[in-house]
Amino acid sequence: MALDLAEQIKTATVEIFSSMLMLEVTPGGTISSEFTLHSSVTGMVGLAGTHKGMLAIHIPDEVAKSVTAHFLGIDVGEVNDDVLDAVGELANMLGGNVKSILSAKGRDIDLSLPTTIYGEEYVFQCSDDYQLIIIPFSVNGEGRFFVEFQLEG
Amino acid sequence: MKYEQAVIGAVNDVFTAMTSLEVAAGAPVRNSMEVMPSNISGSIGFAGDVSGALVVLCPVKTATAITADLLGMEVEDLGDDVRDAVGELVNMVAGGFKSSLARDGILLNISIPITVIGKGFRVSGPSRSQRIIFPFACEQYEFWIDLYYR
Amino acid sequence: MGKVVLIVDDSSTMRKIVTRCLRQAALDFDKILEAGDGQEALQVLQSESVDLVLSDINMPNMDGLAFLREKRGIAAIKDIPVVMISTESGDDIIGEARSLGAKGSIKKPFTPDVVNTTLSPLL
Repeated sequence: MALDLAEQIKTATVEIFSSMLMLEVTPGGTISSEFTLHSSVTGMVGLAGTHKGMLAIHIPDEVAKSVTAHFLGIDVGEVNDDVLDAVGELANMLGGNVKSILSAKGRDIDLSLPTTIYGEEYVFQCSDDYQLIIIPFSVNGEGRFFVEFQLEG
Repeated sequence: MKYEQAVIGAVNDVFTAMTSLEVAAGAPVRNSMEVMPSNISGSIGFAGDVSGALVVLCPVKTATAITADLLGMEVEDLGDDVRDAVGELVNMVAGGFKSSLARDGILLNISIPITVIGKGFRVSGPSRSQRIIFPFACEQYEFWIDLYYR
Repeated sequence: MGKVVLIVDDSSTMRKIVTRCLRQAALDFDKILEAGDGQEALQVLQSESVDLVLSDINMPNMDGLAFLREKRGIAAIKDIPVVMISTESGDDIIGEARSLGAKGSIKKPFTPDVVNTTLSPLL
């Protein structure tokens, strides 16, 4: 089940980046332990209802700026509110996809509002209570980002 | 006022039940752009009749003091105990928040708590959302709850 | 003679919080044992003499409901009372736990008084 879910999250991420951002991204192998993020932006959204969980996307500053530029079609000089909102919106779209993967009709799960974390050095913590999937992606020539999913039960 | 009462009531209930610490709520501030100094945050999303996120923000000293009291033992570093204790706290506060709003006929479900530990990070909600900052004094320490909703 | 209680929770932090609360609840426990999931709890119950179990619901490997289900089928331990520790969002699960033999539940946040009132009749 977890492996299958990881594959579906990979597919959903590749599709969102290709259709919304015109960016080709390539998934790597899943990892399953927490790690320290440096100069990054994290967007996360909660899932509540029949399934409880959290979907996050962790993007290094430089990649986040370039992704935002693609997303909004504007020049981005620094990590500003546009970048935070764009990363939050990416988490929201990915969360929407995971929601429909987990619940065929998507009716029994609702998404929370997305929040973003922006910082020089932070650890996004995992609790043993939850199943954890972390998938690294490479953006052609522009670096890497991670999609993380935690699910209760 | 119902969001203000729900958050402050939930925090009071959790601290009264689980700790021996006195907690005092300051005046909530709506829609400020302020960034709170924190080294540890615990956040939980909620969705239903209203959607949003509830984020607890603490400096190191507050987090270790609260954890030490909850556990009844000395706590020095931001280790697993602090992480789990902050996660439990935000989960219980969000549970109380949910029950309190349910009594007003506003139904919602909560997601799972996520803690972030680090140096110089900030947490923010989407730009098109309501924000209420709740300052709390816990004996000589302080912490904040940031509520975003739409 | 003091009683023996087993706390089952995957978070060692939560086990410490429950331990602190049991001490404050002024219940006469001689010994407080711990287990990290349902599987470990079953092993402890079969090797130690335990009077009462306090169990979390969400745990890896074997969760609280699966633990109740397994325990019910083991004659030597099936009568040891289990009280579930739940959160606000776990209301519906408590009903299921009750039907699987749980004797009660304590909702977080809990006070030493509530812990005392819930556990005393079972000791």
